[in-house]
Amino acid sequence: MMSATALAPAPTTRRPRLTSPRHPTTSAPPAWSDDEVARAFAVGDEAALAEAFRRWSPLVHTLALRTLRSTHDAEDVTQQVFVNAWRGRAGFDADRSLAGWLTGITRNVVVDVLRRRSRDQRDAVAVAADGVPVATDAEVASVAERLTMADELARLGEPQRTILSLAFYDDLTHDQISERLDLPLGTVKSHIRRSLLRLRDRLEVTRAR
Amino acid sequence: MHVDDDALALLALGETPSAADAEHLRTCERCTRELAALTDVVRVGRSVTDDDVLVAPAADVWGRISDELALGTGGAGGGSGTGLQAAPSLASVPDAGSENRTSEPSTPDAPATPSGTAPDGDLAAVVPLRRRRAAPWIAAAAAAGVVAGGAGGAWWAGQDTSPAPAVVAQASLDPLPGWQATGEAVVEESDDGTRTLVLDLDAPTGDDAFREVWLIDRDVTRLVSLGVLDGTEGRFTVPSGLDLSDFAVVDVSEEPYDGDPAHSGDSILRGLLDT
Repeated sequence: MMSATALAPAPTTRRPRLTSPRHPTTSAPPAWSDDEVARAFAVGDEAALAEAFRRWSPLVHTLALRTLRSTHDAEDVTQQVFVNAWRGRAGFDADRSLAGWLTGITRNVVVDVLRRRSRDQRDAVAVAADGVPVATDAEVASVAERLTMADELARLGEPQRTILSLAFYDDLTHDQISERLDLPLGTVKSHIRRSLLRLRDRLEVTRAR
Repeated sequence: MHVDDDALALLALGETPSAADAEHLRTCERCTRELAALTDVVRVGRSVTDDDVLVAPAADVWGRISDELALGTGGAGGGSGTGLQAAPSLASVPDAGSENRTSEPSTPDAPATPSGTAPDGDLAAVVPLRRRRAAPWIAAAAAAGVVAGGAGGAWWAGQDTSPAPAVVAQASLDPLPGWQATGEAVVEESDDGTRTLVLDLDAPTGDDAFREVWLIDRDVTRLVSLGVLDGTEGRFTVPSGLDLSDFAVVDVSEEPYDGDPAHSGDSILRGLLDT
């Protein structure tokens, strides 16, 4: 087993778990919008940190997991990202997207781990030379894009999600979609446009870091 | 006249422009730029695969964060989570991840039962990453009954029912350093378009490890697991959305029983499909 954990020191210290709640127990208002979470986060509301973890830790964790291919490292990265974000919240502009900001931090932490690994690997393991995928900065960015997209697609309501699914993956034209879903042409068209713009906004935030 | 915004979105998806729009696009920088941006969104959107499933971290990660930041010292962080603390992480996986999708009937983040061993409960959260078939948002749409017929079908592994498949690609597999093994890989395509990777190896089998079959892209930066190879012969459905001219490297790895779904880094054989 190419044990990444043996090669790369854990990014953050694991603490004893005995006394910790396993889930965020501070409760945020359930109806918080993403923007409201971001604003509360920026002013140091612990409930907002817990809520941010609920909403975006899957994105952070999956990005780390996909690029580092190690559960242990992905968990450590997730921990470090939220710890760094909380401690560095003074540097967060609450008018921006918290998800995008967290993604940017994740990319940085992941790239750090990859660099450390490749340093440590040079003499320790020849496995990478066999061509087993080792993510590069560009690959991390590309995975971040895809996951961000998957996350945003999942957040689309209906019928937008279905419309986009048919347009993206079944290559149906808007009039075919209109026919299949029995929706007016104009409705389908405007859903497509608005969904694409929404996805573009989300992507731009991720790219801007 | 600039191209209508709705029309630009449709063009980005690949629909045919009207003659007037096509003419306008030849000269208008603004519309061309807008179209390029939307086309890029479509490109990324279409690149999303069933691998791009968000996986919540293990249940104790929040506790570690909370500890490290000494959260809740003045508030609600105390013992109120006792009910959750006792929950096994498998059951709690959806809890952290599906907040915004809880109304979906398919519970997108519910982990599939791992087919391999998962000795550590924490690792269970990882397994669905590769075991899931459809991206959650597609699965949710399908479950809602809105997507009819073949919708979303690009991501569903096809059924291997048709007779007389044609061979569309093949590769001879060569051992990596340290291995004594040879093998052949063939991709068959049936009438309904289902592609199947057929493997035939001549390689020793160990007791303390199993073999997993992968397709890796030509840049060797991305990989897709096709499943576990038991013995020396096996058939694996190739996901219908997977571009074999890109994912052309067939890889057979040795995997320890450690519950980690990632590639072990220990490849036995590799070969390049002649796609």
